[in-house]
Amino acid sequence: MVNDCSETRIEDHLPRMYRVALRIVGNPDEAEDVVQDACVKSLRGWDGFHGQCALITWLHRITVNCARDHLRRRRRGDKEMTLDDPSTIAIDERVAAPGSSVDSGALCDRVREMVNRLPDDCRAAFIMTQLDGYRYDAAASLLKLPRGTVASRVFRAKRLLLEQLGDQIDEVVQ
Amino acid sequence: MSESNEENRLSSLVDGELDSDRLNETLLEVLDNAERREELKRLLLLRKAFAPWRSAEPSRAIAPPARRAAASGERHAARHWIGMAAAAALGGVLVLTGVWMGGRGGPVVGDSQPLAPGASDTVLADKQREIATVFALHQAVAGPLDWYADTEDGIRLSSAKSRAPTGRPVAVLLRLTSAEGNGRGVKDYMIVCREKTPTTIELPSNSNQGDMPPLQLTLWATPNEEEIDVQYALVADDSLPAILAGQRKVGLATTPLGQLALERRLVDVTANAWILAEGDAK
Repeated sequence: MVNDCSETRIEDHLPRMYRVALRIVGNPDEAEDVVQDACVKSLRGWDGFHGQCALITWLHRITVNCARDHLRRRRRGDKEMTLDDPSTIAIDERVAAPGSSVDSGALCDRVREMVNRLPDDCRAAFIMTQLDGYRYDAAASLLKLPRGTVASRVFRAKRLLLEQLGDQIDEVVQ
Repeated sequence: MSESNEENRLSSLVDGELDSDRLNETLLEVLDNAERREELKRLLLLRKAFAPWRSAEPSRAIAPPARRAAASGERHAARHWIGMAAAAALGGVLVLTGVWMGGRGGPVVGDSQPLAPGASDTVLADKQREIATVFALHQAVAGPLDWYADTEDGIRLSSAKSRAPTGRPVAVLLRLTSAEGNGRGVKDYMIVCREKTPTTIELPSNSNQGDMPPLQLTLWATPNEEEIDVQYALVADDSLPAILAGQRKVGLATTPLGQLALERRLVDVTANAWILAEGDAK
């Protein structure tokens, strides 16, 4: 199994940071800006980082915080967002599934809505492992949960989605 | 094992989270059970549905900020090059002259009067580790570096021309302090260059702060037992170019390099230097 913690170069984590940012801010250009911002903040805050095994966790939090700041600037005038704002564990409504065709747009919208409607606990585990691409161990570290709990929540989210999709699951992957 | 636990195990299998023995065991069970096979198929389809998310890449390469800073620094250096060329050339000549004269045991050309030895601040192990960590971080992001300069006004660095730069990194702490002794105008520069490699750096500066003109530093650091033989030329791009050049044995204890006239006031220049322990960064 790939050990996420063995990667020590920030550069190695850029694609995942981008995916996290894209999911939250919903726009590729803005996501790239968020990642740049996160890299700058990670460099400036390097002294606060202790232990290579926490690098993936540390970078994720910085990326999420930068994306949240970005959303806050975009929604200027809205109420202050909190660290656990639901928008950071959801798919932005403006983003289409990467690689999806125009014809599948409506179905993708529906899948996105279904993911966003998942219960909070299993939504976070599902999004981190199925969309952001984190291994269970890394997601467990990020969520401060036992690995088994993450596995159970991911499974519960999958079961809920499959129940709602029914036979449409074949169309989703076409 | 309950049905729910078995499905949970299938979910982990689909996500590649089972070790090989449990994977084989689970697959054998699935092959003999039509209902489980169908469940596995649906989980695989769901996994596939989100595959594009997990492989999404930015449309353009995201340059790590250190590289962008470096590129910016190089552009900045290019803009200033014409204006600095004469002073830099003079500084380089002074350095080379200093090296030559130093080797003959003669006086160092261009050097000001040495300062009276004061309190010898020593760079502590914690500070050495901190600098090693910062340098390691920047190399982790931008790849091997030929040199690196950091101050509160910004960072400049230069990627190595080869993947494995020759020469160990040498850390140099440069401090500029007003000679009036009132503690005003203290400016610290943390610099890392490669041993035995002449290096010219346009030090980071804040153009909004009028108290310090742009400075260019040429360094040539050669380890010599417990200390570093440092040849240096510090050139100020002021209305009247100011130059401080010379050669010193510099170690962990603070060593005066001389004085420089900046903005019509005298500035003391001191340095500490040591071989950077790359392996101790973390």
